[in-house]
Amino acid sequence: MNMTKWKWLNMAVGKIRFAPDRNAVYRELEDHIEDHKAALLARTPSLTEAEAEEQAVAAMGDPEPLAEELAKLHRPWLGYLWRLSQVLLVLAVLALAAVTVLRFTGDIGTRPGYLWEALTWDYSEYFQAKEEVLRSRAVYRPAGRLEVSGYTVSVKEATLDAVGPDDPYSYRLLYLDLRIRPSWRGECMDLRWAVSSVTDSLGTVYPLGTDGGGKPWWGWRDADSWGDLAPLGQKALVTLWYVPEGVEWVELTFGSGELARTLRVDLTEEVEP
Amino acid sequence: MSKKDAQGGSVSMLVLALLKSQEMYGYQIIEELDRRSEGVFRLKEGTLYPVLHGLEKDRLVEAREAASPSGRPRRYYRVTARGLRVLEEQEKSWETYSRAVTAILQGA
Repeated sequence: MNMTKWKWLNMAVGKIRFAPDRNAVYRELEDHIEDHKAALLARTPSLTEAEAEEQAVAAMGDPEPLAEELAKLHRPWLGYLWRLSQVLLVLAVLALAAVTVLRFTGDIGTRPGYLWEALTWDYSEYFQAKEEVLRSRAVYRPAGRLEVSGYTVSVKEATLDAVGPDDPYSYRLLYLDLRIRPSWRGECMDLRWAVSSVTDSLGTVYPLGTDGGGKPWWGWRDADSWGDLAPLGQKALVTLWYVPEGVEWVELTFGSGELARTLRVDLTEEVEP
Repeated sequence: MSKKDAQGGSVSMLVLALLKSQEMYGYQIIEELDRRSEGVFRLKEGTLYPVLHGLEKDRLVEAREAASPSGRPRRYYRVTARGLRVLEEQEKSWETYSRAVTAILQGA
């Protein structure tokens, strides 16, 4: 029986229903015919290509029983099961990634936009001073950064505002624009509650809290009301109220005891706003 | 065991035995069977593939794609540890069978 290579191959693989398997078996059988054909041409140079191919195809045997046997071995459900397992693997990896992200964010499940929000949060509305009551403004860009529990904390900009209608009713506010970047080693914690003390060069101690009638205090704001840190880093605004005149630096201390780490914010070299 | 199963089983054993020493692609296996058996085991070449794919499904051999010297990709088969264990058992059965047949033939 003379049969073209294409016809033989199509008959041999035609009953395999799972397309990726069918294509792979087709290629393998075609390679076999090509190998045999090349061997025949090398052994018998007088053969034409067509004759060599015909002999190689004939040597493969009857494609019909072969098709039955190959179809039995390459059952579609096995192929689909394999595909399903791949899909499940991808889903498992995605789920693992989601769990990892959740571990670092806490409430991201209810606010998917938080990742971006944490990085781009606009705190300008929290600047208390309005233009008509802002009496002076000094801006500093302090160097220095601090490693706290796997997070790197730095102050991008410090703004010292004197606000109020006039002395003696004016007061001074210091805004610290914090940048917090996590490392994957770090624990997931709320740095706001890790600040154990806020002091300045004049020995003023700022408690965390609300306005105490003109006494110094400090507060923390960021994009997340729960204070959980975002996995890609975030902004936070620390505000010190009623900062005395003549302060040269303020210090934020994170943690306590042997684990205490202090970030000093220098306020001596003013820069252009 | 039917005649067909017996043939399939013995071809499987021969293929495993060939792949024991080195990995081979389909046409190479056919050539080696023909050469080593001095033409006795000349199969219809297509029938090799259900045997190979069956062995692969049973994890007695494993396959990998690699480029041939001509650049065309080829599927190379090699025997697995499990395949070697099965081959060892088959060799023992074959030796027993072969000794029995020889004993009978010599007795005749």
